[in-house]
Amino acid sequence: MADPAITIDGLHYHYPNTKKEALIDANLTINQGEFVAVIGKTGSGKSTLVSLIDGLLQPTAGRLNVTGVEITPTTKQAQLSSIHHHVGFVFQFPEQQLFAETVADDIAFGPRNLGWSEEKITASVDEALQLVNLPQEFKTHSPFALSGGQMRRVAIAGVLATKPAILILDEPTAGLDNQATNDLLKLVDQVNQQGTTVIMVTHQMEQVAEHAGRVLVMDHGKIIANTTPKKLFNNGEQLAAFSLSLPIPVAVAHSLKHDGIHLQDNEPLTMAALADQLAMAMRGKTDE
Amino acid sequence: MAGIRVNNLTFTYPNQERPVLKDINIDIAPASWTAIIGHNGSGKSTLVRLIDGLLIPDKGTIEVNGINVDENSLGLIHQQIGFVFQNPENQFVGATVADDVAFGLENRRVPPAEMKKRIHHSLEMVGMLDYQDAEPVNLSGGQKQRVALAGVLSLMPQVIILDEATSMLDPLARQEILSLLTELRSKQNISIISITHDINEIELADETIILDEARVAKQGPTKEVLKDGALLDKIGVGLPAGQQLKQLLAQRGINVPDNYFSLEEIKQWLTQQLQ
Amino acid sequence: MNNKIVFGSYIPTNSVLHRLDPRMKLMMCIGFVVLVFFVNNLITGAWLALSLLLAIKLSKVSVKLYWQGLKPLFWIILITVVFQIFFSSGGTVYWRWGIMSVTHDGLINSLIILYRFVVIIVASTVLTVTTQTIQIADGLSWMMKPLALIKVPVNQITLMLSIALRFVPTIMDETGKIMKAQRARGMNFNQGNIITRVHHLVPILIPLFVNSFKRAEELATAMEARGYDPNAPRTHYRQLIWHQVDNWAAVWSSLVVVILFILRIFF
Repeated sequence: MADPAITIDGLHYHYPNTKKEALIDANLTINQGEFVAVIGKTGSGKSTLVSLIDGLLQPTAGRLNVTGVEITPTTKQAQLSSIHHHVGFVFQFPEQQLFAETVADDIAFGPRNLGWSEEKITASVDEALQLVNLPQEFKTHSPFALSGGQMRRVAIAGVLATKPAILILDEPTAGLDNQATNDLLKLVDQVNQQGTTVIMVTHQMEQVAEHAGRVLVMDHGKIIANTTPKKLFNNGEQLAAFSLSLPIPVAVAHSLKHDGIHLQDNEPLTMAALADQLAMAMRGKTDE
Repeated sequence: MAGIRVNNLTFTYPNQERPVLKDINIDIAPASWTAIIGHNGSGKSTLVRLIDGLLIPDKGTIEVNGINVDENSLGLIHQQIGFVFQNPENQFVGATVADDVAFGLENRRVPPAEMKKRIHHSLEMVGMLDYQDAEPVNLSGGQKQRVALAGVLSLMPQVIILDEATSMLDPLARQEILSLLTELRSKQNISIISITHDINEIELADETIILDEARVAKQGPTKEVLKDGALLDKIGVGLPAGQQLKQLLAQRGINVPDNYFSLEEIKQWLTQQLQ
Repeated sequence: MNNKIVFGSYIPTNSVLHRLDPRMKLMMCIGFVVLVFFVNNLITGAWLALSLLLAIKLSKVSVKLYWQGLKPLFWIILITVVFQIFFSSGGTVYWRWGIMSVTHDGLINSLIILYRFVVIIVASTVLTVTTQTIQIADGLSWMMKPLALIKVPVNQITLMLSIALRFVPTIMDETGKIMKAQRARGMNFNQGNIITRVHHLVPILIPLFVNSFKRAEELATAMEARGYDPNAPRTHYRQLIWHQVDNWAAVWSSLVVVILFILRIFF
């Protein structure tokens, strides 16, 4: 069993001057190297949960431990900020945070804040650029002269440059076309395979099915499900109750089942898995 | 002549060498739904801005319902065409929902009493009547886009242009906007032109135009255009789910006949085969 | 999302003051501020304070909230009053040290200043808690109308004003997001001397400016597409309607003025 990267015990958060709690009694363990998807309606508490994991908010009750840093309602700000050494956070539309004169300077912002040496910073900038598949010549360009998709990759490189043990992404593919979405998710998978824990907030069920090993469902500030994608998608009606849909391959399998055709695996998570199941069923049919 | 006609249109942005649009010829029938797709930077947004007279072409002509689009006809053209932009926040002008819908009516010098009726009616159409006095900070992106749509509807246009209007919304809000548009079109004689990357939104259109490298790469009935998987892949839209499955099945030795294309059709074929 | 209740922001209690025409309220507020300078003794001062207390009562907003409105300005008031006590001269001298002195006139002057400060702030708070910003903007644009005669673009100015007000929360929200994102990238706002702190503004202000320019451009295009022409006449959705209650308010206000001047003559 891998070491837990994050443990959360009875965690609560209440935004000042609001009526309701944004996060209610969250309990959770995430192991190093996991890929966890967080889903739920807008305003269900997803952003609050991941902000707490990055030390951007201080819990109002309960405790959490992120890569060994212990956080409670009384933890000092410095300790809270020390989490940023271990956690990288890609916000929604991250290209809107770019500010430096050159791409290299912008990517170096994070490492510099962590007090790294200049050599280490230069190396990490080069590596991050390579990781997001941008040419090294871009280093001297202004980030504002790039296309929207390239700007997003620079912003993500800026987060990856700090080599976080935990990477949080809040709807990283919002507004991207299919091609750019696939490229970005490939990158996230790659980072995950190198041992980085990934927590991704998303609205796309296909992304949950194809990439996540585990999925958290949030509703009204509570974690109402903490399970594998396969198990979650088994119950289509429950999902619909939370205004969530099924990924296309699972929806096809379920609709076939409704017509009396039973596949061996009723929750194929990818189109390829669905095709495998269908091929198997067809072969079974011709053998009869 | 009703509808939209684009003839030999070429457009180059100032300070740029290469034209973003080159020799474009397009015909859009009245009361049709047209999707315009293509890579970022393929000139989709430029094209619809030219149609609405927000930009003026270097060469070629554009006609909207028989009116030639030029500096002198802008007022008339804006009256024919309603525009919903991508970012919900940056097109919300009013202090409240009702004020925002009123903005276009005020520009058109609609008398206040009449304005009230039209605001009520158009907010009702998009299901935002209960939010009349709400301020934009308290609305979601999807709600703001519905208000934008109400603003457009209150002016009773012939054509509605959606420039990636659903791309910043979550799937649920996107679906709500799309059902709203489908419903509107079944009730009113309105044409819709939508720029999108979303395959579900493309599939709603009767006609699809693919722009690639400043030119029209393909145009025709959506069903036909969507068969060109290679081109869809090239422009970053990706294959529709039905074709993806069809390809994967073919790789596994199962050949779905040519006349089954959409996911729904393939599902039907599979049911027949497996029952 | 987490809107704090700020000093002077609109509080909907649907009182009779809320229902008054914004033009009436604006005139009353301006008139009141002018009247404050006609206060010449305890009696006239008490009369104005009394009428202000009546307005507070009518607004159905708790006195505590008005007190909270005064609190952020406490230091400014205190410094001004102390300055007045030590640096104005005239009348009996009670205490002297270098250029500083406490005199009889100085004390009286500081009391008057304190009174004016408090009364003016409270009076404008009555206006802002009972009137939405958009209504104040409408009222102001009505008052600016005569300026159109000397070619002041009143309609453009008021539209600009209302759009600016509309985007204040948007920009606040965005600032919060950018700060959060830069904090996640390891930036520490509360560290270092004044120069480092000023330096820290760059990663916040640059994205904010870049986004605002983009926003302005998109907004301008959207406005044009919706048929906006800055030089063309427009109709107005928000119509200000003068009600009977506004007449009553006018009568009451005149009464306050008349009584103040009578009191000035007799005392």
